[in-house]
This record gives sequence, C-alpha cells and structure tokens, in this order.
Amino acid sequence: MNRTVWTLVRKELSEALRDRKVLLMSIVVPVAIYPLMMGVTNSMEKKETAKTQAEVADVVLTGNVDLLLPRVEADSTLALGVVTVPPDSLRSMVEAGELDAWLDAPDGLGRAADGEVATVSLYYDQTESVSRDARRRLEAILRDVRDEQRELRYEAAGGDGRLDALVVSGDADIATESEATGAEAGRMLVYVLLMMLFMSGANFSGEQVAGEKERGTLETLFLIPAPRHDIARAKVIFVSFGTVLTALLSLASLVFTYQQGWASQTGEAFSFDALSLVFITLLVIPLAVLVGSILLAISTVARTLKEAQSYLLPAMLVVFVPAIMSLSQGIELKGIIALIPVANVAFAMRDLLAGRVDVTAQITVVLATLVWAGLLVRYVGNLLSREEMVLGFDPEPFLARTPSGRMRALQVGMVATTVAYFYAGNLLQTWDLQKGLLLSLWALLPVLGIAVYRVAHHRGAFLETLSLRLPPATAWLAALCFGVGLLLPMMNGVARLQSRVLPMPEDAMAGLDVLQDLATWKLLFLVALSPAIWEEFVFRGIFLGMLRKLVSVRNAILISSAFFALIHLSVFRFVPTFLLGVVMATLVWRSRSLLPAVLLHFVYNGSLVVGSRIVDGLGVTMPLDGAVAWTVSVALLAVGALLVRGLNPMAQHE
Amino acid sequence: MSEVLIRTEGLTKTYPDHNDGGEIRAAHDVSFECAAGEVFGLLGLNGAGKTTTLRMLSTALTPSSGTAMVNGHDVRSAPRDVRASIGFLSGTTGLYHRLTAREMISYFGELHGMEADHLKSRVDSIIDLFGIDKYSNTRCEKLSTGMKQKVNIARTVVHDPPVLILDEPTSGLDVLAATTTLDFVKGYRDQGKCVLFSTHIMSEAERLCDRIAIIHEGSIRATGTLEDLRSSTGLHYLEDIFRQVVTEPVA
Amino acid sequence: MSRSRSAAGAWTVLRKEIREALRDRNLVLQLILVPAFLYPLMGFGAYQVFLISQGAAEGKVTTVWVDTDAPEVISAPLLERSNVVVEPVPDELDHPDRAPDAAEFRAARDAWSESDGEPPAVMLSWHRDSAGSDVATIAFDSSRDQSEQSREWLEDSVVAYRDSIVLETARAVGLDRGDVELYDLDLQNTASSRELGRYILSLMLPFFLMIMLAQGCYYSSLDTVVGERERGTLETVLSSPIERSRLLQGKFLYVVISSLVAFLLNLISLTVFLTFVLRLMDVGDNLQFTVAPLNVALMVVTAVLISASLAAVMMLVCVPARSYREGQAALMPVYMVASFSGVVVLMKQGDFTVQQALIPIINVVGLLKALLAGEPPIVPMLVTFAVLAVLAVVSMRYASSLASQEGAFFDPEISLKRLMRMGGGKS
Repeated sequence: MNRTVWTLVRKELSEALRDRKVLLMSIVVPVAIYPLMMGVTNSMEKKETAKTQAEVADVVLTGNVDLLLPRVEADSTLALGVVTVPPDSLRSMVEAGELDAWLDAPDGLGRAADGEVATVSLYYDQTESVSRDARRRLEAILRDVRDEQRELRYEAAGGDGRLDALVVSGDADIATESEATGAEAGRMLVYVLLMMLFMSGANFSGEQVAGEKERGTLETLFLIPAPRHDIARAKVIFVSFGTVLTALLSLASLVFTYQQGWASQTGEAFSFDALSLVFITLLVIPLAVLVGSILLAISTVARTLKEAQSYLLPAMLVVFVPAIMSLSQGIELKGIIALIPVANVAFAMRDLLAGRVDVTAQITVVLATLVWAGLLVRYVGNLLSREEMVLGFDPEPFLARTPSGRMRALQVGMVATTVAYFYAGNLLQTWDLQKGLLLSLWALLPVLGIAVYRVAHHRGAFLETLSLRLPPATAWLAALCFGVGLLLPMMNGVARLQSRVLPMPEDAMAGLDVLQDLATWKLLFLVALSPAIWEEFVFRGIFLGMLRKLVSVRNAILISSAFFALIHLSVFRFVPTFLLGVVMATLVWRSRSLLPAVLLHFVYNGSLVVGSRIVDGLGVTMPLDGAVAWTVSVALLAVGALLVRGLNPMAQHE
Repeated sequence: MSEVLIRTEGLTKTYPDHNDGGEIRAAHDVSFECAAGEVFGLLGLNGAGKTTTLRMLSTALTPSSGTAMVNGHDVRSAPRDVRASIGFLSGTTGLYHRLTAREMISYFGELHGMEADHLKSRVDSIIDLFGIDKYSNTRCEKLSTGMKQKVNIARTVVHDPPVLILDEPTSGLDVLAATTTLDFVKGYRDQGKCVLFSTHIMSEAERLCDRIAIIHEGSIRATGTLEDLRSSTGLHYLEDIFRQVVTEPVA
Repeated sequence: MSRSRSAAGAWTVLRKEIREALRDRNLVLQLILVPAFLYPLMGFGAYQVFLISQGAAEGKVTTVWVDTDAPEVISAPLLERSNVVVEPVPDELDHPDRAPDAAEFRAARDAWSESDGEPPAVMLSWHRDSAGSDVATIAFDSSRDQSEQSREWLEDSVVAYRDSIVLETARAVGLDRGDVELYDLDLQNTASSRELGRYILSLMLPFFLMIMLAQGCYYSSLDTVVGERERGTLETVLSSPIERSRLLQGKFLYVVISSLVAFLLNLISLTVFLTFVLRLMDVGDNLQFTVAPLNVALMVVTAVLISASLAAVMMLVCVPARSYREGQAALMPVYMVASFSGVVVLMKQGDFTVQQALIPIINVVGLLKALLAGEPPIVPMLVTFAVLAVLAVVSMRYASSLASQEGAFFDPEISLKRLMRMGGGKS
C-alpha cells in the first residue's frame, strides 16, 4: 500500500471513529444483537410452548366411535363435545371456528355396508393451529386403534404370532444434535450477516463518495497529485475494513451466543472446531468486501447521500435473491452451486455449522467469493474514474443529456419492458395459450418496444436498423446458412454443455407440449413466423438501433442480445438465445436490413418445429449427431460467416 | 514579462447532444496565457464555460481537443504533475466535518506528498498566517462561514503551489469572508505566483485582475488589461464593456 | 385571519409538497418504482433460482445401502428413480442378530467419503430379532438434505411392503381388507381455497406492509422537514403569513398521503405478484388471494391511522435536526422500531387479542394479519383504532406545539431533549 492510499485510509478511519452513528451501527449493534435476539426468541418460545400445551381443542365425534372414545377422553389436549345440533351444521361450525375438529364414522371401523373399507371423515381447518393439532392427535388415535384392533381380529381368526410382524425402526439418526441444529442455523446465518453488513456498511460507504460529492470535497480530493485508482483503492479498503470489522464482530458475538445458548438449552458444552471457525472467518471476509463494494458502487452512482440511501433497500433485496437458494432442500455444495455468489456462502456456512468440512468445496467458495468481490472492486474503480461520476453533481445544464443519462433511460425502459412482458404475457398465456402467444407477439411486444422508443428516445430520430431495404443476395444466403447451420451446435453443443453445469429440472423441460396438437402450419405461424417478425422488429430494429446511438457497435450488439435473451425469462435459455441474438444482430448490422435476420429466425425456429414433427411422426431418430452432420453444420456456419464478412456494414454513426 | 505558467491553445470540450445528433460545446477554442505574478480573470455569466475551462486545467475533465500547459506540464500527458503544481478552490468546495481545521490542512498537505517534518512547520506557519490558531483544533462543522473559508484557502495553498485556480471562490460568502479571499489572492500574486480566477462579479474583476478574458457561450470574446478593454470599446465601466462584448455578433 | 383562510394555507402547503415529491426521483423510486418493479424482478429471480436448485437436486445421484436380507420388492421403487443407486450393505456392518448402530454406519460413511464415489445417504438394515420378527432399521443423517430425502423414499417403500405383508397374512386366516385397515381416512379441510390463500397472504404481507408504511413516512418526513431546512426554503415559508401549525398540518398531510400511497401500491403489487408466482410454481391453482372489500377498507383505515401517528412522531423527531444526516440519525430508531417490531406478532400463533391491540405497531401488524386471514375481530379492532387515533392526535398536537416554539427551527444548539423541555413547560 503506497503512502497516499495509507493517508487516505487513515483520515477516513479517524473521521469514522468520531461518528457516533458509525460506532453504534458497526460495533455496538453487531455485538449486542445476537444475545438480544436469542433472549427474545427463547422467552417467546417458552411462552408459546406453555400456551400450546394449555390449549385444548374442542372436538366432536359422531357415528359409531365407541372404539375411539376412551382414547379421545384420555387425551388432555382434546375436549370432547356433546352433539346438540343436527350433524349437518357441524361442518359449518368447524368452518366458523366454533369447533376445532369433527370426526364422523357413520359405518364405524372395519367393513362398511357395501363390503368396502369404512370411511372415516375428519373435518378440520388448515388455517387454525389448534385445529391442525387436533387433526394430528385424532389421526394418531385412529392409527393406534387400528394397530390394536387388527391384532385382536387376527388372533380371533386363529392366526398365530402377530399380524404385523415387521418391526420398523426409523429413528437411527446418525447426526448429532449439534450437527442437526447447525445445519439449520447455518442456512440462516448468511441472512443475518448480510443484514448486518448492509446496515453497518451503509454508514461507511455513504459518506465516501455521495457524501463527499454533496459537501464538495470530492473534487478537491481528485485534484491531489495521485493516480485516481489510488483514491478508489483507498475508499474500497476503508469501506471493506468497516464491513469486515462488522462481520468479524458479529461473528464473534454469534459464536459466543450460540455456545451459551447451546449450553443453557442442552446442558452440554459446545464448541466449534478450529478448522470450521477458520473457514467461517475466511468466508466472511470476502463476503464483507463484496457487500462493501456494492455499497460503494451505490454511493458512487448516487449524486447525493439521500439518493444513495434510497438505492439501499432495493440493492439489499436483490442481493438476497441468490441467497434464497439456501432454503431449498437437497442441494449440495458442488459444481455451479459453489460459484453462485452469496448462495455458495450460505451453503458453505450450513456445511460448516453442521460439522462437515469439505476442504476443496470450502476453498472453492472462498475463492469464488474473492473473485466476485474482486470484479466488483474493479467495477467500482472504473466508476470512480469516470468524469460524470465525480462531477455528476454539478448543475451544468447539458450534463442531463450525457450518454449515461440516455443510457439510463434506455435501461429503465428495457427493465420495464421485461417486467410488463413477464406479467402481461404470462397472464395472456394462462388465459389461452394460443391466443395469448399471438397477442403477446403481435400486440404486446411491438407496443412495448415502440413505447420505450418514444419515451427513452427523442422523437423522430432515425434508427438505421429499422430498415426493410432489400439486401444483397449474399445476405439472404448467409441467413439460410446460419438458420440451418446453427441448429446442431445449439441443440447438441451449447445446450449439452450447459446442462453439465446447469442441469435443467424436468418441469422446465415440459415447455410447449400443449401446442403439439396443432396443425403444422399453425404451429409454424405461431412459434416461427410471428417471433421472427416481431422479435426482430423490437430487439434488432428498435433496441439495437437505439443502443447504437449510445455505445459502440460491439456493445450495442452484446447488450441488445443480452436483453433479447433475458426477456425469454428462463435462466436455461439465456445462453443459447444470447448467442442467437448476437448472430442476428451482426447480420442486421452488416446487411443494413432487418429482412435477413427475419429469415434466419424463421428458418431456425421453423426447422425445430418441423424437425420435431418428423421425429414424432415417423418415429425415427434423426442422424443429427454424427460426424457428417457436424461437418455440414460447421461448413454452413463458415460459409455464413464469410458471406457476412463480405457485406458492407452500416455507416459508423457519429 | 515573467514566466508563463498557464498556456492554453484551442482548448475545447464538447458533449454529444442526443436531441439532434450534434454536439454541445461547453468550451470552444479557448486560448490564453497567464504568467507568474499575475492575476488573470475569466469573466462570464453562469454557464458561460468558466468552470469547464478551469476543470480542464485542473485535469478533472479531459479536453476534447486543444492543449493546455500548466507549470510546464501538459494536462493530458502529465495530469499528476499538473495537479501537483496547482491549488484549486471553488465556492462549492467543502470541508470534512469531523476533522479539525489543523487536520484538514495537514491531510491535504500529506496527500500532496509533503514530508512529515516539513509539513508540520508549514501547517503551523500557515495557521499562523491565516489567523486560524484559535480554532485550529475545532471540528470544521462547528466553524462559521468566514473561518471555514480561511481553512479552505489554507488547505488550497498548503503545498505552496506556483499556480492557483479559483472558481468563483467568493460565491456564497459574506463580505468579510469574501474580502479575506480577495486579500489573500492579492498577497499570493505579490509573492510572484500565478492566479487564474473566474467570476461573474464585475467589481471583483475590476479590483483584482491584471488581465481579464471575457468568456461567453463557451468561447473567449475579448482579452486584455482593463485599460486595453476600455480603449478598444471606448467604454469606462467593466459592466458596460462586458455587456457590449457579449452582445456583439461573433465575427 | 379567518379559520377557512388558514385552512387553505395548509392546503397550499400540501399541494406544493405533493407536486415537489412527484418530481423528486428518490421519492418516486422509493414509493412507486420499488413496488412496481422490484417485486416482480425479485420474484422472477427467485423463480429462476428455484429452477436452478431443482435442476441441481434432480441431477444429484444418491447412494442407498440396502441389506441383502431385505426383500427385493423394497428396493424396486428406489431403482425406478434415475438418480438413486442401490448398493448392498457392506459385510462388516451386516450382523445377523442386530442392526448396526449409528456409530458404525457413521464410521463407514465417513470412511467412504475419503475415497472416491458417492458416500451412502441412508442405510436399510434387516435382521431377525430373538422373538422371530423381522426388524427393519433405517439409519440416516438429519443434518443432510439428501439423507432426509432418501430416508422418506426408503420409509415409504418399507411401509408399502409391510402393508402388503400384513394384508397377505390376514387373508391367509380369512380376514379381509376391512379387518386390516379398518378405515379410509377422508380428510376434509373446511378452509376453502380462498381462506387458505388469505392465510398464506396473512403470513407474509403485514410485515412488508408495515415496513413500507414506515418507509413512506420516513422519506417524506425527512424530505419535507429537514430537506426543506437544508435547502434554505424553510425560512422563507416561515416568514410568510401562514401559521406554523397550519404549515405543519399541510406537511403532515403530505407525509400521511405519501405513506398511504406506498402502502396501497405495495398491497396491490405484492398481492398480484404473490398470486402470480404461486400460479407459476403450480401451487396457486387451488389458492385464491382475494380479500373482502370490507376488509380492504378496514385495512386502509388502519393504515391511515398508523401512518398519521408515525408521521407525527417522525416529524417531531425531525424538527430539531439541522442536517439531513442528523435527521437520518434521529429517525433511524423510530423507523427500525416501526418496521421490525411487528415480527413479534407474526411469530405468534393464535388470534389477535385485546392485549395486543393496546400496543401500537404490534396492533397494526396483528390487525392486518387478522383482516387478511378472515373476519374482522370486532373488539380488538375497535381498541386498535382507538389507540391509534389517540396516539395520532396526541403526537400531532405535541409535534405542533413543539414546532411552534421559537427555537424549534432557528436555535443552533437545539436538540429534541431541549425542545421537549421548552415545549413541556408551555403546553
């Protein structure tokens, strides 16, 4: 660390130490919150248990229930009511909550009049906890009576030994109590830590850039004779220091509380083994840096402290999304899971607290988190070296129309389109799949595209990508080559590679099976022609064109394709759709017309439809994976690429 | 004439205008020179391009075209050397609230790479010079506007820069604080330093500047001493001269 | 000044506040864009995450150890699963007269994990006890998801086998299914799909809504009191002929309105979104999220009352703050308490009681929960309304009397404590 960075960091530290709020949020709260939470939950739990035990459910039994009655009467949690009303109204009493459960056994237990097994009806209310408990109790009583009765009947019929001779013991749990609770606690730990990190980190980061902009000290700071990345580095170091400090303090407090709580509840001592503690610490540090850089990025983008504050909650919620994964069962810390930010830490912490230390997996998670944090730190560094970020607070009148201002408008437009398409498109398609698809493509998508164009772009601006001029024959040929040539690499190449890292659940594969009954021409129209026309119009015509006015051709192609992939609303389709988008956008750019891309899109989607029809209809497997097929595909792609190279691209704008 | 410390040639800053695909010129073809021992004033209305020009000189903004040399360093190729040789102050630059006046000053001294012993004596003498000693250990948030301004100036010159760039340094200050600033500028010039000073207040320019450039809509419309300007326009008061220069059609 | 004229003053203040708020991109972001965009995006993200984890879990191969003594029919359903591998229990664990104990299985599993290959998730061992009965023992590890999952499969399998054996044995002595099973249980959940939907809704919504209410108050009161002061416009307003109490009323109404807007937008957005996600995940078919219009109206009344109290308290806390930062520091505790103390109610089972109705915030979350779940609980509801109304009026009056102190806005050394002392003396 060079001298400037050190001076900067030292000054920030001494300033932070004089701020009571920072001290409170990053030292006192993290230390105090866990014992406090523990105390509250413990006392509530005690009260709750006492209450549930005291709670008695009102139940009524009708029909031939003599076998059940003694056990129900013996159960202190059930109060047997006397029926004074006609049985028909009992159901509505359960519904109204006047009665907790009603068991009706008109035929008694055993055989019913028709020779079948007798039916016992049990009425309860799923939304009431007392009623749920009553149901559980009654079910258990029924089971006990059955087990007892059938042995009696077996004996009476002259059987020897027991009827039910198999003993099933299902409680050989090899997990120790601390492992089992550790697994549960570990899952939640990451949420608590994230909350702490955000709450305390915000105090460190808010002052850093947004606060300095507001006070007018940022400009002076950027005039010191030191490279800008030194300043960025110092800020990252300082904010990370703050978040790491908070994280370590909360961790220490948490470990202490956990051990105390464990001792007070079970009466036995509990301690983390050293290796787990080392790993937990190793996990927490990069996580803290990660959160720190997110907060610093927010602070850099915002023009005032207030604005930074208002981005905080949304950012926090977004960070929580991958962490949700840790709530699902049956996932092991392996493969892609170890690379997903935040989620991987959640799983790693679960494993550690459950007492399982898979060193390789843990190291992978630490490294992955470090890489993510590193990427974010770099991003913040880049942000801080941008003129408009440092001077963005300045009310120079034209700065409102900087490229980044336009870009922001376009980005918001894209997000809005995605959200609208998500809601409206899905609602339409649940209402009627065919009509919904048609409406989405022929009405919703173009309307959204045009709306974004109207709002985020100035009126009347010419988009060169929206051209329907007739391209040279080579462009058509290139479109055909790609449309056919891409099939195999996509289906058997990309998709297969992807499924290795990102296995697709069976549910998601079902897809549009419902449409399989349609006539081929209808299907072609619905899933090949319509998307070819309207998706090209919106994504290549409008968005590519608008982006081109703001960023380089390459970035315009990449961003518009990413958006195209995103709106397909499936993480599994992202990569293939993105690649397809890149090819089509390049084609549009170089052929100076939308038409070849429409053809490509139609040929590609259409081949999939027709191909699957042929396979289904003839029951043959297409020879699509052989060396010949691959050679042909690669050759087609090569020809397509050569043809595209030969085209004159659109004039370089501006 | 003594050594020229600031020289700009054709300095231009443009932003793309996305309304008509053209561009907005914040500063256009700005050329002037400023020597040691001279106060050079940039006179213009709000939004005339003063701040943009000064920011290009302070390396906060990169020029779209043209060149600028500060103390012999090019703003593009040697921005760090440029920054090392300037002190920059504007009406909006603030202080760190939870640092004391002394800490504030020595912090910037340190950031300019001053050695510890030298810094200590420099800070002491500067605190003495500006009469800040009584409240040098008070946190900046507690200071009055005038005191804050003194600390701010002290902060600007702690590394004894040969070039001082002041962007409307008196805006938002009371008379006493403003006078402090102007007196300081005079004194600094008399030490043989180069001061570049932007303002939209005519009386300040009249009182202080050795030479004045009138800047309007991004470009310089007239340059010279007050006398030069008077004789070329035939008017006496700077206010009248200014009005005439900016309303003249551009040749 | 006539009363109507001064009331018009409050109205003018309110109109200006609202107009300004709609032009403030932070407020718009907080109050409108977050509910409209963020939930859907989060939901979409969460759904994708759900699919990824489903894919990951499905693709995972589980090894199950089954004792060779166990009847083959037991492993059959396991073998049908593409991601389950059935292996025999190793000899050293296979004792003829007893089940291997947990420690043995654990040791074997842990030894396994060091070499290559998937360690066993569960083990089914089988032996005959001294009484001559077969004993099936399932050993598992409750701290591992996979083990829990395959234990269920194994258990189902064993139970199915046992039922078939029991029936067979019974038939041999002339008994039939009726004698063995005795009953078919017909479970009737009297809560309709609508009630079930509302129940799920009532578990999540009140907490979020309370946060949103608090947030709406937080941003707008900070902006309208401290922000105005920082921008230097407060003094101009105070020097106009409008009475301070009217000024405060106007601002107060604005804070209440913005918090209500946040509340309503969130209510709508969250409801639509939850319905949607549940339908997408195939859970929603038999769930309906509809709340009776009367309940919605009562919820709005609750929201009005609580946001009035919160607005008054928050503005009161803001008055002595000299900068935005100070304002934030002063408001944070209020905001935290308002947002998170409701958790207590959500963790509690059972009805909304009168005792709960006496404590502000707790009563709001409790009442919202009750209103979402079913019929309005009349007595606690009225108590809640009364408590909130009293709180709103008292805190508003107090805030207004404090703000009318001369020092409230101009004394550089003012603090809340000092202001309260001054106000306490006079009011």
